[in-house]
Order: sequence, then structure tokens, then C-alpha cells
Amino acid sequence: MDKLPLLTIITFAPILGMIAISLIPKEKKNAIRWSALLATLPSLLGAVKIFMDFDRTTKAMQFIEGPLNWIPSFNIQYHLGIDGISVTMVILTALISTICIIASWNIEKQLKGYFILFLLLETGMMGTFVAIDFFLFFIFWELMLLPMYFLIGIWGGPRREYAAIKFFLYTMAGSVLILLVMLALYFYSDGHTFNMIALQDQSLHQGPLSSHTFRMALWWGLFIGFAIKVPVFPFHTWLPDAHVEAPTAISVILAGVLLKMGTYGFLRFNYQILPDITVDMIQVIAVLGVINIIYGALCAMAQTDFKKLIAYSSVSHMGFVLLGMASFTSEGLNGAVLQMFNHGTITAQLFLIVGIIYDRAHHRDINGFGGLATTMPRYAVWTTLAFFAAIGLPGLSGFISEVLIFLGSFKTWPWLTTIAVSSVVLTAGYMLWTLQRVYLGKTQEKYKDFPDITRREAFCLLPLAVIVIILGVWPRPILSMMEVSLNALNQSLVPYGAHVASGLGF
Amino acid sequence: MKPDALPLIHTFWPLLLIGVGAFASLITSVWGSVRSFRVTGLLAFGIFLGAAYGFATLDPVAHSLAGGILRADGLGYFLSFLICLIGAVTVVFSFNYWENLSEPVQEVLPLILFAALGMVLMVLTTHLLTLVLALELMSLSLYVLVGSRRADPKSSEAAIKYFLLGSVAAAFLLFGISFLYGATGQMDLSLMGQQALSPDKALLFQVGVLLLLIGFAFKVAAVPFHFWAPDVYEGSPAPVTGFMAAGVKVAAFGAWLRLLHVLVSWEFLELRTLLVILSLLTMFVGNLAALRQRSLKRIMAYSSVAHAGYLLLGLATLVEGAVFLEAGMGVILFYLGTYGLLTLGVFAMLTLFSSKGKEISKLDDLKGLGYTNPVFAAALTVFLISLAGIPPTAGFVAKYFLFARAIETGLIWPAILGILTSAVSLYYYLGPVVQMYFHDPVGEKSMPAATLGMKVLVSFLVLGAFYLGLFPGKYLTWSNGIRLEASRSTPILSGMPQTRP
Repeated sequence: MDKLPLLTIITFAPILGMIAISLIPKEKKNAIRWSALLATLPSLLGAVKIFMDFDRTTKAMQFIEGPLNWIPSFNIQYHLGIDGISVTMVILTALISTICIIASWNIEKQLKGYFILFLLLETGMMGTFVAIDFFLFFIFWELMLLPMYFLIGIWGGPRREYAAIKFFLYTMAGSVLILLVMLALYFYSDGHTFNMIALQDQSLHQGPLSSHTFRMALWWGLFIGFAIKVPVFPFHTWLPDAHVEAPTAISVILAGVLLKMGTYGFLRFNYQILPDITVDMIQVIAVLGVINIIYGALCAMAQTDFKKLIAYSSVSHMGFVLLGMASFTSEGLNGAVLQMFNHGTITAQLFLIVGIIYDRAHHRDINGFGGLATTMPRYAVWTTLAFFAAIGLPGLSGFISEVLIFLGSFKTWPWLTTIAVSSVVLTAGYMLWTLQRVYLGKTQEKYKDFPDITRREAFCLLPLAVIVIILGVWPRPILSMMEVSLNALNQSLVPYGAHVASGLGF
Repeated sequence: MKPDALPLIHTFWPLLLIGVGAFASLITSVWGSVRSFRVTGLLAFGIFLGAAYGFATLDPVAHSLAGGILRADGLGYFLSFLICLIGAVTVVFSFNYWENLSEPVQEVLPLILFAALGMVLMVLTTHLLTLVLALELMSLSLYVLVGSRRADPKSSEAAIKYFLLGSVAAAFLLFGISFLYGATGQMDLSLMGQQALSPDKALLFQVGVLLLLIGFAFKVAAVPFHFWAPDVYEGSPAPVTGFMAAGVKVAAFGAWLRLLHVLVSWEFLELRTLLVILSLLTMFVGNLAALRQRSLKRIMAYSSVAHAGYLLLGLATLVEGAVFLEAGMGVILFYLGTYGLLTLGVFAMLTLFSSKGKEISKLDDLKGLGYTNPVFAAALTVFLISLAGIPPTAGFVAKYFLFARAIETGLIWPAILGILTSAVSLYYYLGPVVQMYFHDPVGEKSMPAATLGMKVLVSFLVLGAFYLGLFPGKYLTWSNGIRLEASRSTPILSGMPQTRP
């Protein structure tokens, strides 16, 4: 290979760190922490390099590695690459992972095991976004499951066992469906391939693969498999449990990265491999998206557990992604992927903020707090910024992606969009209400001597907040990365009935 | 010396080695001291490794010797190779398990050798009577091994149960063979295959094959002939259970492959449908019954039932009309090897946990093990999740290849059902993991020191589980190359690609 295998490095560097950590004696806690941080840096630096070098003028896969034959008798290859759909997710994953290591600094229980599992999780997440081979994708997809299961199950809250198993079984059920579709695509495609790019070529779809019913079955298999991860209503019930029980950093990973894998899967598989069925089923996606938005927001409003509230707000915000994807306009699609990125950065802040207060008060009951803004003024400022970003205040990144989504979806679904837009009021409602209950009002006597946000905690929030502000006024750097790929994706759907691409206006 | 005596020694010296070794070990264990136990153990270990090496390097000639009693082909050699490895691993277990006792049970090691001899014979013969004899040799040795924890009534109960049901199975088998003989007039499978059968023999043939199927279904614990498995697995000493689970499966499926190869040529029976039904029943009952178990050994018993179901599905993929799809054997052989490796891994852990004759198997006993014994707990976790079929471990690729093969040969619904039951299995395989990691340890846990051999062995098994999961390519190519006909076979070692593809 003439060039540096960048994607391999960012994917497998955490594994090296994992091995190194397993050799450190468990008493040396700081050595373990620093090694874990060090192990995420190659990925982060690699992500920065990708951000700089990414060719923003082509829709083709870039930084390609392979294909190397891995299991020749089944035509399985080691094949990595990224395009506009995945590149922002790769950057997000690298960023969130490093931040989460810092956020995990105060973990004391079984420190070594925690960081080993964490790094394994990072490899799984990274690999899922960079794999071009379906089989490889599936391996990485599954690879995430186990560390996540243990991270929730061992380091979680009181009902961690239940939450961990529920998470595992739900996701596993989805994986089984994806596996079946993978097998079907392999056996019925002309030339028997797992190559995701090759499978997009509709002329390879022969035999049963050209029958509408069979394609429909495959589409639903993929859709449900990925919908569980997003999570799309009615498959969302694992999410609040998992979030409430998971330790802070793991919640951040879960909401910040894992949820995006579901929507990434839609775009990569449903949209590109089975475009005709996607167009047929687009109403389903749109309606489910709106249900997610409204239902998530209403549920969030009813919560008294701070973390559960944030979890439901994720359900609501992922609904926007679905609605944007269902618009079949370039604005909508770009808005959807931008929303995936923005939600990753915003919700990560929200969970970190919940974690900060939980570390001090050891409970998360919203009504149990009050007046924290006077005892922890700086903390309140960070919170306000993140909350406003989640509401979609103009000038912050959430606004841009939501507007793009609404611009696109209004063309296709005027009524649904009208309903969805009204949810902005709901979001503002539960967010501001929470702000009021926790940070304003009468100061609670017992929380008087809480220390304000520490430097480490602020350091976790800082990069995310900076990104949120920059993208709020100048979204070009990120939009330009995804634009060409997504417009091409939209263009490829035109023969099946999508809208013709138009400029973004940003 | 008869004319074919020399080739006999030449092509079967590893078999003779095991036989001679078995008798030799009887002599060395006669003293009954700890020291003689060690000597016997080393002897048995050496014999197994030597024989494994022999089977791996011998050139398959694919003709029957001694009137069809023995047949030297790629399949037989490969399975014998597996059995010898399983035997060697079991010897290491036994060291760890019995050596701590003040008075080791001396007959254990010779019995393991005799049982292995029976298993090897089973996969090397095409003669039905030899098959029965080999099966009996294996079974009788196992009955005694199962009952070798004399102080424990559960062990004796298990032995009696196994003996009674095993005898019934043997009776079915013999009865089936007599019908088959009645239909074809032949005892040797290779001669039987050349026979044309007139339709008026169809009934004899059908009854014979059904009885044979039932006999073997008993041995591999296929539903509805699985009722003995949980009790026997629970009652036997951990090393024996591991040996039984892995070894018997290899031997019985080996014999089954050979039988199918010949029996498919007369289309008197819908063998494929029969196998699919048996397989579905087995995987469903095995996986569902395992969900309710609270003892790791019983979970493993039902897991072994479930895996027998998957293997039966594999067998079904080989039958297409009157044609035996030899090329499809590779995935079954790969599955057998993987299953053996992982099952032995789990039982290695159970052997370690059981000290001083006290068997530890209850899930509650595993509480907090992840903190008191992190390394062993991690290893057990690897084996369990691999059995459940989670990538990137060997269990996933084995299942993947098997189900992919099933879909390829048109068994789409059985494959889908199989994959679904496999997802269910995750729940019970995670049960022990939950106990080990999500609960705090209760009371004082004292773990007997593992022998060096045991540590090395466990490391090998763990590495194997990952290695086969990450780089299965060349092993699959290799197992796909194993044939019943010699012209396409090469010795196991030289058949293995040396360079990574």
C-alpha cells in the first residue's frame, strides 16, 4: 500500500490500546486512564486528517483500503472506505469517544475492565461506519453489542441487569433480521457479493431479488433491524431503560453514536440497495418520523427523571432525521445527516450535564432540584447553551439542520411537516420547564455547597459547545462534506419518484 | 502374515497406537498411586498427540481393508484427528480434576483411551458390525466414566440412566442393521452402495434406516430421544461430560455422514425431509428447554441438544434426491471442530471450578466470579458467547457457514428458524455471564490452582475461538477439501494452505 491505511488505523488503534491496558496492573489507575485516552488519540487525529483531506467534490468512496480477500470461499473481503454519508459519523465517533474517556475519569469500579470494553466498543463503532463489505459491517455491528452490554450491566444503575439484557435482546433481534437479509442479498445477487457498493447496482438483482414481494420482505427486514437501533417507535422501549441505567459516558456514546447507526443503515442499505421499495414505503418512514417527534416530545415532558427526559428527547430528535430522509429532497437528506451529526454533539452535552449533577446529588429527580444557577453559575451557563441548542435556537447548530429538514419535507409532506413543526413548541416547553425547575427558583438548602463545574467536566463540554456554535453560524465545513454524496443519492432516487435536487441555500 | 497386513499397519498405525496404548495404560495404572496416575496421564497424552499427528499426516488411500472393516479416507482421518485432539484435551482436564484427590480414580485414563478407540473405529469403518462393536466399546467405557464419582449418588444415577437408554439405542441400531442386511444382503457399506435394490425390499429398507436413525438420535441426544442428556451431563464428572459432549458428537456424526453417503442412493425414504424435521424439533426443544435451567451443566446438555439440531440441518443439506453432496461436508466438519473446541472450553472451566470432588455447576455458585477470578471468567464468557454465535468468534462463522449452506441448498425456512432459535440461545448462554459479572461474590471463593497444562490449554482454546472466528478462510477451504474418495484427498496437514490467502 502506497498510502497510510488511515481507516484501518482509526478503527484498530483502540484495540492496541486495549491490549496495552490489559498489561497494566490494575492498581495503577492513572496509568490506565491515560493509556485509554492515548489510545483514542490516533482515531481523533485521523479524523482531523480526514476532515482536512476529504475530497468534497466527489460522491465516490474515499480513503479506500482493500479489497483484500478475507474468507475467499464466501467472497468476503476486508474493504474499507468512506463517503459523504459516513464521513461525518466517523468524525463524530472519534470526537465523542475521546470526550467520553475524559468523562469517565472518575470511574473507580473495575477501572481496567471498563476501559478495555470501552476501547473495544470504539473499534466496533468506527468499523461499522467505514466497512464497505456487508459481512464486515455486520461483524463490527455485532462487535459493539457485547461491550455495550457489559458496560451497562456492570457499571450501570440499580436496574442495570434488566436494562442490559433488554438492550442486548432487542438489538440482537434486529441483528438477526439484518443477517438474514445479508444472506439473501448474497445468494440472490448476480456474482454473489457482500460488497455494498456493488449491491447498489440494480442489474445484479436477479431471480427472486427482482420480485417485488421478496424485495419488500428484505426491505422490512433491514428497516426493522435498523429501526430498533434508531430507535423508531414502537421499537424504542429499550432506550429509556438503557439510558437511565447506563453510566454517563456510556449514555453519551449510546445517544451520540449508536443511535446514528440505525439511520446510517437506512441510508446505506434501504435507500441505496432497495431504492424502489424505499420510495414505495416512504410514507411509512415519514409517518413514523412524525410519531417519533411528537411522541418522544410528549413522553419527555412527562418525565421527572432528568436522564429519562433527555433519553426521550433523543427519540424526538431522531424523528427529525427520519422526516428529513423521507422528504426525498436534497435539503431534507442533507438536513437529516446534519441532524445526525448535530444531535450527536448536542445530546452528548445534555447527558454530560445530567452526569455532572448526578455525580454531586446522586439522584436525578427534576423536582428535587432548584436554584442550581445560584450555587453553580458556570454550570448553568453550559446547560443553557446546550438546552438552547436542543430547542433549535437560531445561531446554534440544531436550528440549521431542523430548518433544512422542514424546508425539504414541506415540499413532500406539507401536513406532516406542519404537525412536526408544532413540536418545536413542545421541545421548547419541556426543555425550558426543566431549566426552570432545576436551575431557577428557590435554592435548595442541601445543595448549597455543591462545587461548580470542574475544569475536567468543562473540558468535555467545550469542544462540543464550540462545534455547536460554529455550525450554528457557519455549517459549510460539515455540509460540504456530505452534500455531493447526498445530492447524488437523491438524484439516484429520482427515477423512482423523488424530487429533483435543488440548492441548499446554506 | 496375510498379504494386507502390511498396508493395514501402514495406513492405520495411529489406531493401533491408541489400542496398544489403552492396554499399556491399564498396566501402568495398576499400582494405584498418585505417581502411577501421572505416568499414565503422560502416556495417554503422548498417545493421543502421536495418533493425532499420525492421522494428520497419513495419505488417504480410500479403499477398504480387512474386508471392509477399516477404510482409510479423508473423512475418517480428519474425524479421527479431531477425536484424538479431544482425547488429549480430556487427559489434561483429568490431571487437573483427579490429581488433587488423595486417591485418584485410576481406571479413568485407560477408559478414556478405550472410549477414544471406539470413537476412532466408528469413523474409520464402513462395516456395520464393526460400527456396532465400536459404538459399544465407546459406550461401555463412557458408562463407567460417567459413574466414576463413586461417592456421589447423582453420578451413579447418571451412569444407570445412560446405560439403560444407551442399551436401548444399541438395540435399535442392531435391529436396524439386521433389517438393512435383510434388504441388501450386505454388511459392508461400500459393497452395499453398489447394490441395486428392488422395490419389494423397500419396506425392509425403510424400517432399517428408521431404526438406525433412532439409534444414532439417542447417541447425539436429538429430540425426542434426548431425555437422558441433562441428568447424565449433570451427574458425570466435568472432564467426562466434556469428553462425552464433544467426542460422541464427532464420532456419531462421522458415522452418520458415512451412512448417508450410501443410503441416499435408494430413494425409498424422504431422508432430507426426515432430517429437517428431526433437526427443527431438536433445535427448538433444545434451545427452549435450556432457557429454564439453573445449572451450567444442564444448560450445556440442552445446548448440546440444540447444536445437534444445527448439525442435523447440516446433514440435511447434503441430501439432494439420490445424490450425496460431498462438497457440503466441509461446513459440517468445520462446525464439529468448532463445537468441540468451544464445548471443551466450557468444560475446562467447569473442571477448574470443581475441586476436591465437589462439582460446581449451579449458576448461583458462579456469582461474582468475574471479580474473584477475572481471567477464568473472561475465558468462560468467550466460550459461551461463541457458542451463542456472536462474532468475531468461531461459533459465529461456524453457524454462519452452516446456515448459508442451508439457504444455498434451498432449506430456506429451516435456516431462518435455525437462526431465530440461535438468537434465543443467547439468553441462556448469557445467564452464567450475568451471574459472574453483574452480581457481587458471595462468601469465600477458593479456586484450586490450575495446573500449568490447564492454563496453557485454556489459552489455546481461547485463542482458537478467536482465531477461527477472525481467519476462518483457510480452515474452511481445508475442511471443504475433505472427501470420501481418495482421488481428491490429500493428507490433512499438507492439504492445509500454508500461506494466508
